[in-house]
Amino acid sequence: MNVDFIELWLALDRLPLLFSILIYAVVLLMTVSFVALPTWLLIRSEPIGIYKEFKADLYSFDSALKWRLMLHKLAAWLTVFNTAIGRLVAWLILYMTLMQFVVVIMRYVFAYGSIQMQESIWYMHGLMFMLGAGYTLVKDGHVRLDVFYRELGKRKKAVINIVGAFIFLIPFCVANFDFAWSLVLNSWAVREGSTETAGLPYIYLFKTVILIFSALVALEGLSLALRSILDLTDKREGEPEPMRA
Amino acid sequence: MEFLASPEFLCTALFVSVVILLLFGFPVAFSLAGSSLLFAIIASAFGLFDLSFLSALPQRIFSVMSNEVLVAVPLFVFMGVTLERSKIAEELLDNMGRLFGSIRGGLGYSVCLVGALLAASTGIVGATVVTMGLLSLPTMIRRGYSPSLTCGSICAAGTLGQVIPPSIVLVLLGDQLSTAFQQAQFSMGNYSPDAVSVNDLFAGALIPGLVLVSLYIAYQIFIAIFRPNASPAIPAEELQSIDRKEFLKSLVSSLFAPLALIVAVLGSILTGLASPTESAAMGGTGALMMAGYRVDPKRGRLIVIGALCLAVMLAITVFFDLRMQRDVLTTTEWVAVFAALVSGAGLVIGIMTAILRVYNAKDNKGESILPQIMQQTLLVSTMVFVILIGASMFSLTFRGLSGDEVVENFLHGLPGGTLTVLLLVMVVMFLLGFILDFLEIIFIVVPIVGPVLLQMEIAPGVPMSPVWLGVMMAVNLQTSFLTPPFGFSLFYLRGVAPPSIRTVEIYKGVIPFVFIQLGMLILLWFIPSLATWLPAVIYGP
Repeated sequence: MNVDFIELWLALDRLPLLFSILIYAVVLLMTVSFVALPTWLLIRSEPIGIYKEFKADLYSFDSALKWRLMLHKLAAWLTVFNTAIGRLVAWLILYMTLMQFVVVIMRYVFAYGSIQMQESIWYMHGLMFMLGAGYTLVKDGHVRLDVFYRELGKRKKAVINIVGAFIFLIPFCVANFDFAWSLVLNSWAVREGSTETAGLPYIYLFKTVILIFSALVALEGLSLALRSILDLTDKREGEPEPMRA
Repeated sequence: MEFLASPEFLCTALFVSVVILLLFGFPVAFSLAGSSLLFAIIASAFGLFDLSFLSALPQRIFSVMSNEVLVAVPLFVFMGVTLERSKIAEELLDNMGRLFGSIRGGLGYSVCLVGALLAASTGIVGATVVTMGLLSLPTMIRRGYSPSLTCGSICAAGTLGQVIPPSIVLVLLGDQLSTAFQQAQFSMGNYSPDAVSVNDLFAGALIPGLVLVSLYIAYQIFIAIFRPNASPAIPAEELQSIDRKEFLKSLVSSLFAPLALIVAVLGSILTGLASPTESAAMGGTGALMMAGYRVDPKRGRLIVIGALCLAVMLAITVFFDLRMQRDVLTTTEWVAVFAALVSGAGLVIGIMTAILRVYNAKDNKGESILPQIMQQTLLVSTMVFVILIGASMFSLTFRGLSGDEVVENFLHGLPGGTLTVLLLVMVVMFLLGFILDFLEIIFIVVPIVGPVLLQMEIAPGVPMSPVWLGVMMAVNLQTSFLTPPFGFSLFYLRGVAPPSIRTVEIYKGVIPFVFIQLGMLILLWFIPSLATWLPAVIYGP
């Protein structure tokens, strides 16, 4: 009787459907848990981290001269966006790794592939380094050829950074913004989506990141130049600035 | 005046001025982009350049953002940084040193082996040299090893990460070479070109990498035999004090992590099961689980169960067909499906535990480790990609000045055929390696010379293999990083070596290894199958 029931069920061709539902449920569960846990950790740690880093930057400089203090504060405020964005997008690495891991497991174990998931990984990859570029500049993480630079004094380094920021970095950002503008406008006009039918329809948003990249890096270049001006105008070689009373 | 407006002059001027401007020390990515832009603007003011060439830049940037192969870079970096943070290198060096210490030259072998193991698991050159410089260098000096031999071994073993897969250098080289190869075939009139992938390059570099390691060790053996004073054995009575059983246990546990990762990552790439990106994600997750386990091995049960679940899951996949979208499922398959689902749940729990452990682990300043790992990864991978963007600006300007034709005509005009051209390119790359990072060389030089070189024949009727070319370039760049006085790896070691070691000793010690490298290049020239055999066996010709 019982066995008949199972056979009936089989005949009804419902099992493959149940199977599919099961696998979808597993994908969903894995994705949700792999998104939820890092997000929870992120919310717990990053606001404090960003605030600490910003405070440390703001108060890392003291001077008896008011204009120098103001200049430093301006530089710190220009940096705060990049610090916050950089620290947040760093977490994309964890999401990316886990999401790609889920994609791999699903592909090889259940032969289940999702174009949207794959594309979301590319989006995270692009977002990560485009939005993190400003933060990398904050941390001086963009590699320098320092065969000579390393030997230079504080003031010579400052000159190089000021000149570099104004003739290399900022013009590049302006030019890139200008070139990308029409590309992004066109993309928005047609609400450009993925070339795959089942893909994510947000290419126009993704392309907008190129504009944001230019803006963030230019802002940070400006901040770098301001800090270098402070170094350059500091008359006392090697001694700390006189404190405020 | 005529001469000043010629594309030959303009391209040379562009290249030279960019290199000079780079040397001032402003971040490479922006120097490259900014100076190319400046040059283009000046040239266009004289009517020698069409600025609309540069408007292709955002499209180039977009293709970097959505390039599937390049996703492997942050994932591999993440894996490397995670492993580095979990102090695998330290344990390996300690145990290998004890294993080989009692024989002559033993510490030298252990440095070479650990270098190779780290190369195949973390692959971060600077970090490897620094770690070994901090840990092995003092020990080896204290044991009476000659300082120059010690420094040479550490520098050489530390740079293996560039050649032994999975390496970032090979991922980036593979990406650039595949474009170059396609262009070469288009211009030879082949409109359905074969592709060369990062997988091919990984497979191609494996044997040359292993040959290099064996040559290093052979050199150490040679020294141990003919100059016994340079690498004495540790007296046996000092080593006997360690409990044999304890030692074996710690040796196995320190070897297990890197070996398991190497087998999983390289195995899945080399068997053609997974793309580099996919295996990098597996490696990254694996590294995370190991790091989580090592934070507190006593409470690591959940993570171990997670890892076992993964193994069970993969084993089930081998024996049962779990594909979706089918019409009939047998009872055994249903059982298998449920087993797979249960082990999937175990795996998820294991990974989540590992993440939490790494998050809760604090460094000695009381800061959580997980955000630090991710920020470090962000800095490294962003640096790589922004240089790629800067290099795109350079190559657009170079193309706009019809530089690719200039280079092509020049290379084709050289007497002596392929050998001269290849030699010239290699020497230029080698010299550039003194002043530029490998990134700039790969992103600038390969797109310019790659298509020309790949159209040439290495022997009558035999076209040059892109895999072979990539391996040659990788070994060449590695050599350049070892060569005094400008090799990067020497700077890294100088930075951490005690002042009692003179810089000249570092230079002297590394020279034999430079000759080994050159020997390897010559070997590759005469026996190209060292690089091409394995990819052909695995992926078909």
